[in-house]
Amino acid sequence: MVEREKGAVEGEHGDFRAVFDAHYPFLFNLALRTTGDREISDEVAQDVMIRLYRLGIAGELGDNLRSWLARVCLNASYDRIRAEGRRKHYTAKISTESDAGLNIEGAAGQSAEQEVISDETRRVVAAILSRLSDRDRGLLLLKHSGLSYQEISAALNIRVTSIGKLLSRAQSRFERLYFAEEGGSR
Amino acid sequence: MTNGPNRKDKYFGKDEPVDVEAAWQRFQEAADQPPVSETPSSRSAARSSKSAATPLAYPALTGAPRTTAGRMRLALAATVIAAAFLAGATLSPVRTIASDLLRVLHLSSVEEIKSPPGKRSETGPMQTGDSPLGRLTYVPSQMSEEIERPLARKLLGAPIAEPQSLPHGYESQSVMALSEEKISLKLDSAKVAAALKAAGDASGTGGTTKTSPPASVDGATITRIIPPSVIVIYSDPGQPDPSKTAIMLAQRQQPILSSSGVDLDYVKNNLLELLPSRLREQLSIKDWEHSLPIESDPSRTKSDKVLIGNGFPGLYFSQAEVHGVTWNAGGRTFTLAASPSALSRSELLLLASSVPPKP
Repeated sequence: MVEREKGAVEGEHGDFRAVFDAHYPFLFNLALRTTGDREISDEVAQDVMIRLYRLGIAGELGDNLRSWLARVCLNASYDRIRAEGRRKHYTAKISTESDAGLNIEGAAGQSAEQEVISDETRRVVAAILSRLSDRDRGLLLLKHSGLSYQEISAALNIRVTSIGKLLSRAQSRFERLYFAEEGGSR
Repeated sequence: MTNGPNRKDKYFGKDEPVDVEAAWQRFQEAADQPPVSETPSSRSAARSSKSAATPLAYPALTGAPRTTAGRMRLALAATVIAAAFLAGATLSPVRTIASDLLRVLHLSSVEEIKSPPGKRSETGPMQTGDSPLGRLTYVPSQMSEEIERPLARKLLGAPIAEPQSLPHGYESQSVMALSEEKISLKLDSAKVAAALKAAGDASGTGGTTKTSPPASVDGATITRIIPPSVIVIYSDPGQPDPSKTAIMLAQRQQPILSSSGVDLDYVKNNLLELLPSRLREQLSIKDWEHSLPIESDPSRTKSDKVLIGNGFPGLYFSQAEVHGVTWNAGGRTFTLAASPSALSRSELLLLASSVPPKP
């Protein structure tokens, strides 16, 4: 949690500012990994924060706050993908790009030190994630967004003792789809 | 399997830097737009809303509900009441000529009529009794307990239309119904004549009406029947309090307007002249053959016209703790409503667009 000085508190929303500062970047990046679209991710993160603010349950959630945010963010991201038909769009896009011999392999071949992957890679990953089950997709997204097994368990209603095994399987399914998109070269 | 840690970062990347300050500014602007729930003023507005809808009976909402379904119904009371209000189950019951006419002359599509200022203090439950035009008979609708879907289909006379793009995790939780509502106005020619004369005198033009009521007016009856409404409540059981984020879809066949002993055109052309000038001006631009006048209190309800799925005209409304949209499609009137914390306006309209039939 980001601590802010009292002087930084602003307006009637001021009490919420610390919560916002602490969790907005997490929400944005989770939505970005899910949708592959920065603009949508910003809207999703804002919507989730507004929902939390209006429900007034940030204090009640306590240690479960990040799990709650993660679940709501995932659901909102899925809704946006569905609503805007992006799943079809991505599928078509990947198909086209694979046929053209482009750039999925290149994305996978980027430097391991690269910290911020390209927008194109994000879109490709989001498209592949969209083909996974909600559980597999959620596991991968939350794990790679930095949630602990306990937090993932709370967010996805999965027993914490099962997270490791399910995560490993989800990773395998993801990679199979990823490599299949590369034309079965692996 | 090739899932080394570096490889995972290639797929999912590390967190990107975010301009939190700019995001906070956007958040503040957005958070201020719709009314914030659970403020003293909004609670007062909710109470006012409930009071205005007292003809409706909500037996399941009395006392402290002990079950989840009961709590959900309680939390949805304001939603249901507001939706019923705008779906035509009740109108602001001002015991005046204007309100009587507006009550009776519900037609088919949605047109909003702003309540005249200064009349809100006169509101009270609509009930059977003398009217300035005759005698009003009112049989209010009743809210049912949870019902089975086959019964709901029977009440609706058609399959239940469902949203096709519910938010993730949402599912149908319960189905309830509002029984038929019937309003009849039996005209009294003496009262009608007096009212017409008074309206003419009040206009200062020697009479806004050019004709006396025909003899057939005496005892003639105008009847409006609003068929039963089916209300499906959707919620996400995974939410901490599903009732706070529930979504409600109400649907019913369109109202039936009939008359005996009097031509509806006569009512349209003459009796509407009795309405206060502000209402008359609004009504004069309506397509009476296809309009459903909805009286709303602009001090409590914000509303504007929208297009559902770029095809069906609808009315978006927003109150303190609920917002929704009502529209006509395929011979039915739909109202989709939720708390602003459950669905934003754009999400609400998008969801409404997924309800069949589509344009």
